[in-house]
Amino acid sequence: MAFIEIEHLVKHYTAQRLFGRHAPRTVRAVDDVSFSIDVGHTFGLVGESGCGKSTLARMLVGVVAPTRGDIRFEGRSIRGPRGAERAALRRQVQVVFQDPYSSLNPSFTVRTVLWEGLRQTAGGRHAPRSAYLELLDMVGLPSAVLDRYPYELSGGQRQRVSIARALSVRPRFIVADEPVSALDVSLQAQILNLLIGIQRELSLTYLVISHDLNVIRYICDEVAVMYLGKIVEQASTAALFAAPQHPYTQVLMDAAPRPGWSMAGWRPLQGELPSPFNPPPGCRFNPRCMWAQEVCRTTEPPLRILHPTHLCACHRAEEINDARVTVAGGGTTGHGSVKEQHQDRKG
Amino acid sequence: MTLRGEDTNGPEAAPAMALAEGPLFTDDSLPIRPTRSGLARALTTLRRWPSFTMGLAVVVLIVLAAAGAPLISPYDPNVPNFAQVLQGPSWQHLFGTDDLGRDMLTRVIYGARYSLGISGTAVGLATLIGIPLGLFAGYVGGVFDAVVGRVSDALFAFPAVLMAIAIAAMLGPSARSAVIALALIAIPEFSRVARGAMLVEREGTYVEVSRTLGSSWAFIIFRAILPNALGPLLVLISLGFANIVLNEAALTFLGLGAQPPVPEWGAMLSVARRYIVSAPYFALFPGLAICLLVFAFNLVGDGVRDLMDPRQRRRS
Amino acid sequence: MAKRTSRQEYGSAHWSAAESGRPEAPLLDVRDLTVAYGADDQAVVAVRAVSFTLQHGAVLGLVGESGCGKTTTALTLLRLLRPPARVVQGQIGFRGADLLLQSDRDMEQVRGNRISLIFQNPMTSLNPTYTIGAQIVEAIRAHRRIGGAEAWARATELMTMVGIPDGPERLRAYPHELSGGQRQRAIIAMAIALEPDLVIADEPTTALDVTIQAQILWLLTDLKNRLGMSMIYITHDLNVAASICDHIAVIYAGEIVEIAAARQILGNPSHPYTRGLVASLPETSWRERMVHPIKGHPPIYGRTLTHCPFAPRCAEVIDRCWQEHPALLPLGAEHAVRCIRRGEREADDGVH
Repeated sequence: MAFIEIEHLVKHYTAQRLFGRHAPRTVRAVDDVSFSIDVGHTFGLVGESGCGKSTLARMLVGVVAPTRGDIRFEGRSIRGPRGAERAALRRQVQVVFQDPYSSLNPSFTVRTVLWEGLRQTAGGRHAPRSAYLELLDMVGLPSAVLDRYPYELSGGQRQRVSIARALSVRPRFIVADEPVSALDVSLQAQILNLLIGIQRELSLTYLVISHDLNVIRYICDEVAVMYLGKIVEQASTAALFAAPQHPYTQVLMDAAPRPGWSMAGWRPLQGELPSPFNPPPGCRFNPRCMWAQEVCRTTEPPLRILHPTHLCACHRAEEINDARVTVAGGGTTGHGSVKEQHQDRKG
Repeated sequence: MTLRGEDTNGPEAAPAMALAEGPLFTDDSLPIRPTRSGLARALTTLRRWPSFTMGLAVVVLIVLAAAGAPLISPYDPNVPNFAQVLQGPSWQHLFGTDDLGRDMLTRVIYGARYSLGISGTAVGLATLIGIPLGLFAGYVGGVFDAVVGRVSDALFAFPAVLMAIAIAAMLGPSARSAVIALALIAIPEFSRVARGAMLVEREGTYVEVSRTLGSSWAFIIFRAILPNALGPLLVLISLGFANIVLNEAALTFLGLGAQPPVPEWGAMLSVARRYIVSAPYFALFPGLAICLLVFAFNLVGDGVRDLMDPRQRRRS
Repeated sequence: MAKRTSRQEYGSAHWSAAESGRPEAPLLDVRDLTVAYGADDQAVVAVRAVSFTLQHGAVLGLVGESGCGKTTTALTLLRLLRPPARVVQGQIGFRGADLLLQSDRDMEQVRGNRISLIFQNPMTSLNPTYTIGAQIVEAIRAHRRIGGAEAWARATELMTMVGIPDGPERLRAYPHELSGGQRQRAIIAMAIALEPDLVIADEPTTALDVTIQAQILWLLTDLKNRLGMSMIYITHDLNVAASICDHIAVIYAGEIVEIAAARQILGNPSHPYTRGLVASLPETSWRERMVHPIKGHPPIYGRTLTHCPFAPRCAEVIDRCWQEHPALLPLGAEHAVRCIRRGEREADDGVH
């Protein structure tokens, strides 16, 4: 039994129409997502805006109620318990959000921020100073920040305060929703290293959500790629980056500028994310997919096992990847497009 | 840029850093706290907003005058002196005398007690009842919010005077019924503004965070959100006070509030009406007093609104 | 290069593509551009003696941390600065005339018409109360005396050019009805409507998803090729700059500290700051689990600067760095660096 199990999770938002006789429109923000996370692992969710990863995070943390489906922590479903037991279960999951400014109460000093969590646990309302110092120490902040307000701190410091706050209730699972996206690149690695260190020390399990593949690659053991509310590919980090199977994943990896990347003879992915009110029939990616065929337009592909522990939701996965291997001439090295112009970094 | 004791051949050549050494953070410095004391900064703020400072000063003066009325008034407010009826301003009676020969200056000063007292109580009730009600309604939404909203709408529809008449009819005209009427009028307005402020803050990420920490709704509303919603609420209270003072004078003018011989400004105006041609100064001073207090509260309210403007906020 | 005697303390340096062998007159020739905020004694210098040239059809990237002066430079080119900012010295040579000497009326002829500007946030650059079509038409008719129908037709043509499908219908849409990517395309349409010689793009893709960013980058390159425009591309992301720019100027504390061909900047960076930026790229350092932070914060300097601006944060600093203000001097073909130690590294390396 895995530590966290997510089963057929669905979240629909219904937009009421004020006037008019049409049926209310529904957005399927998360549409039948299932996966599990083992203890001490870091699971990554990657995708662009509108794919549903943030909604999924909020359901895990308890801020949004699922429309259907179940979430289980060590076998215990969140739908059962009530009251104090449910609160205790909820506290085991904490969240670190993207925006280090808005996720801290502007009227709270750092001390109050930490106190809000500390007072819930055994320490009671008057937690000893050592408890605060311990939390600050864990995120590498000096004790002088206790009396500071968020606006006096830098982005990286605020994010560290958010992490300390998440730790203040002694959770076992942390959901990090774009934890470093709002920070400078040089700071990002530092915060990620911090998270890795904390995970080891406290035996935590992580779900990391990001649109940035570098972040996912750095910190995650296993990754799921989301598109329009569904998981389209899921594999271990190494396997995903070595040989992405789904066309969307391939496009995603290809689109980010990086050293040696050139636009000569390359075309970007066409089109935009379809309207979430009206997803295309069949495979949701089919209007933008260069490999789309009739079956893609009519039948939704199931998330199926390609190799052990590598899942992909594409009818033509095997064909496509065989074709790419042929064109690239042998084993695929890293992420390349069909037209491989992978220049040497020292070029 | 190089790591401890590394060669300088460039990033590719440096060996990997062991994670066990712990992360280094490059943004560890904290900004310097302002060195001047809170008092010094408060005084600077006052100097920068002269209108606010003036308004505040006037309010404070009037409050002090009301509190120390027995000490500073030259005469007794209730003892008539039929020898000196309806005198104009003179050195003995700076504000003149009223229709029963009582010193107007004294009565105006004592009148501040009633105006501030009655209005203050009404404002207090509106704040203690209306604001939490609005905050709670804004937070939970749903049926409760809808019910509170509709009841507020109904109360809004009542003109202040009509409400006062109805209550005076039920309870008899007195200061107490004036307080109740004024409070009943103010509560819906206060709750509506509080609800609006809550709706804005409710969407903040920090509210979601508080929920994940397991904080109770009471903690979230009053400890977490309220300090951030303070701006519009303080403005509301200041301007609301101005409005209520005005309403209170109007009610007493109509005979619905405190009854004579109480030296209340509105009541004095009501009596002075008869003498407006023969002794215009009789109405002048209570009228000015009302204007002054209302104006001062308005200045304070405007000043608070400017101070709370987020663009001004983080200047310290 | 000769220093301006009247403002010697601001320093002067001039790197020109002409010196590296390109004969034709550049489209844009900026010399010693210096912008300061505030009164003379307490002036804070945002842009210090910046000089560069831009050829027709070339793309120059301005790369640096936030607050380093790159946006101020762009705004100065279009004379869009407001007091307390002021141009202290410099020349902006554009098509044979110095833009800093033009009257306001003449500048109005330039803005949008010969030089256009694309801002960072597509959400706030468009007026939410007018349709896209109305705004594009307004941009066109500000500089061309053509009728409404003709302008509308041109707007439709532009929509196709920037890749927004269903041109005529989308023209009647309001900004809030478009996605972020489409809004940015609409803004690009307005920017190229009059086929300007130069487009300045200030972080146009920062707020967009990576696949949409790729589309916009490709679009800008395609338009540049088709219309023969030059571009100045401002970003803090070295990877993005390298993908679209021919040359990159790295800016620190308002000065150009290194300027070279894009491939040189990434593959063979010379200035310690540039090397720090390259080293902190995830692709460079994260893979090996290394962290190469650049300690400290970007500084703000005043009128007189007698040392290297990067000295406080430089890991390779020596005493001499604090005693003189280095000039921007050539290192190789099409490569100039502002560092007194620039020769040493190359001598040590022996590789490049």
